[in-house]
Amino acid sequence: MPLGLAQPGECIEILKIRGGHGFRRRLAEMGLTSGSRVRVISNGRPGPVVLEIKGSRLAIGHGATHKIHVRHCSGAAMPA
Amino acid sequence: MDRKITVALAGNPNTGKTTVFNNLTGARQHVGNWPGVTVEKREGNREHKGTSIHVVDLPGVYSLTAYSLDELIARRFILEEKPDLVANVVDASNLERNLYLTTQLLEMGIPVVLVLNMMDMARSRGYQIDPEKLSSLLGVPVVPCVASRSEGTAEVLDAIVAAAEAHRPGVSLNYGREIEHAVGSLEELLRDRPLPHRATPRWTAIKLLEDDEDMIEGHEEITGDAAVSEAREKSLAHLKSVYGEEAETVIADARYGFISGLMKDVVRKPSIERVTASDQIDKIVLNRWLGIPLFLAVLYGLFQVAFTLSVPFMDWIDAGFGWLADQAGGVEGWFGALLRDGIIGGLGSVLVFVPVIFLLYIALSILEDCGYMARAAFVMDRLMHKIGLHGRSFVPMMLGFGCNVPAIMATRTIENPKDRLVTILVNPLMSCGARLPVYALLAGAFFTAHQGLVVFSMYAIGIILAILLAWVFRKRLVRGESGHFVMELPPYRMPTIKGVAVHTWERGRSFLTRAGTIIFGIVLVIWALDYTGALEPIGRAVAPIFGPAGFGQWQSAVTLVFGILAKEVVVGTFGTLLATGEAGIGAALGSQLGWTPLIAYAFMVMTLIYVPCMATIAVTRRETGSWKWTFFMIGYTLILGWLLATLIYQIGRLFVG
Repeated sequence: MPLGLAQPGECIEILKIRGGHGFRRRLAEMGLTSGSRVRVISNGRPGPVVLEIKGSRLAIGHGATHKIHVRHCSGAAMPA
Repeated sequence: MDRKITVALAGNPNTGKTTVFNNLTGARQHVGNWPGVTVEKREGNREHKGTSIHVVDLPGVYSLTAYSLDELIARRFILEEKPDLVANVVDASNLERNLYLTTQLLEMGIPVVLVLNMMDMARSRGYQIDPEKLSSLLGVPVVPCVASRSEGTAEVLDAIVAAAEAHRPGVSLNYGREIEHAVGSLEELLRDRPLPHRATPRWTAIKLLEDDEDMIEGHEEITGDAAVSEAREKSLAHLKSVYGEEAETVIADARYGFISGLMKDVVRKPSIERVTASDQIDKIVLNRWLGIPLFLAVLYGLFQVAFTLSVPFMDWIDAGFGWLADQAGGVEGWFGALLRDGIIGGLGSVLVFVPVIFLLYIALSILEDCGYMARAAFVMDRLMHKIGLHGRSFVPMMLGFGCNVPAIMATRTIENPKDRLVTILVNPLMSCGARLPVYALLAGAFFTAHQGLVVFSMYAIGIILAILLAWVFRKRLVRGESGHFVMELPPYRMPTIKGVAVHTWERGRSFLTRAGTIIFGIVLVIWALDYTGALEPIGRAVAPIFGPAGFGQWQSAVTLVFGILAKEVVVGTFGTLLATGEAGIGAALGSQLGWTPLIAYAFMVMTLIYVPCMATIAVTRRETGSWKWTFFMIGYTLILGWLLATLIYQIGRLFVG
């Protein structure tokens, strides 16, 4: 599902990031790469989403939330 | 003899890097620009144990790709200027993300000292960090500190001196078998070729695999080499087939893999992460319904506070200049007139606004330092998205309340060139500190009961127009895909008095120097032109244009013409032309020029919108690199300002006669 549909409090895993070279690189340096697990802090719906990733809070704009595909973390607990 | 070493200070934004820099260098700083660009460059010197340390503060970056101007500057400095070592400031409470930059510094093969800042924050979150273990795993010295309380500065200096002596690079990251193989074969090829910027073969090989734009496009001598480019393409194709991803992503993952391994060994976190106070506050601040009203309330409160608190200070300054004018009362002839109307009247009417401007800057600095500014961008993202921009454009707009010049420079963080252009074009509509004296003066004189509200309305009109025009420009003139908004929300922090003072001074300093130099000069020229009778013809020639807007008197026209040089001049010019100090301008506008509150309001709107000041025009030219867009900005603001002022005056006249 697109990131825009994730609920606050959920643990999600990034599956695929679409979009340009620069966009993906920007996300990577902020710690968001496919396979990484993050917690959803809030979701504006429609609007920006705040994620907790590696201890920091990352705001992802409305437009960008459609470009990131995620799924719920399977079974295992959130990595500390 | 003294040893001399150069240290580059690198780190992510929001890590307290500037505070560390201030602690390291004390007052001996120099602020200039990086060559060829308008990014500020800070340098400072420090003697420590017989070593003279030259510290250069690099721009705050998350990474050393060549993706943004800041990153390119940081990277080029390290490669080309070859500092003896890099002091890498990291936020101990957010270590994992911060270490990403560290891994890239290590790759460059330069000695690194890791400055583990904000240890207090990490402790309060229950993190236990083992600096010694971190040091042994990274192969670099690690120094814990709390820069905001000046703790650990001596230890950082000790470590810098010792590390410069030892001159040892840290560990070399292992990217896993496949990548290492690709890096190794490229490295072999590069070994006996001339490399750019004195980079190491390994680093160059990694950049080639990462598809780094600066490396691929900027270094024909490497990429043009058939053997190298063939090996590179073969490796990239192979890696893609093995991992199903671009090599770039695999390398980023490998860096994070290395970091998360480190974290397991070095950091103990409480088993259940507490919901932080920041998150609690954000629940309210970022709430989809409360967010925007709260933002407007914050803005309104900010102006109210700035105005209310500044009143007594302004009265003192005004009284001071009044006393000066009385003292000069006995001086005869043209010199007396110059002293009273030119110098004391003109300068006094500008300087009297120093308190309100500084209070406004203090408030802006507090908002920035405590972390709310990033939230404002976030809250506005949804609205900004509707007009074809995104939240990131909002921070430069907020900074425009201080001064449009640094605000336009701050648009550099917007990666998409079209988003950036539109953000620059509408920035002058964000009412800067220099326009505040005009509002304060006129609102004080004509709207005594609703001063704060009237001034706030100017800011609101500016924001609304900026948003509307951005939408129009994005739809009609600068069409195309908009970039994406990705931004870190730093945790809320209690702003320190020192931090706020430094930021306020950085903003306010330019107002004072401008008041003392440019504005003073202009006011003198205006006085001289007026004294010799040359001003009136100029004013009379231009004045009819403003007739429909209500302020068609030659004096008003003159102030607007000269206001283009610097907006503060509008008030000073009135002071000179009406031969009165700040306190008397309001009354004189009414009695000598026949102004009504309606005219005053129309004039305020004109001052808000029409032609940005010279400094803003110059920075627009520099940042857009285009005269066409610069003239477009001048043109649209002039027409829009005139239209709106005329509309307000003409429609208003129907009601208030």
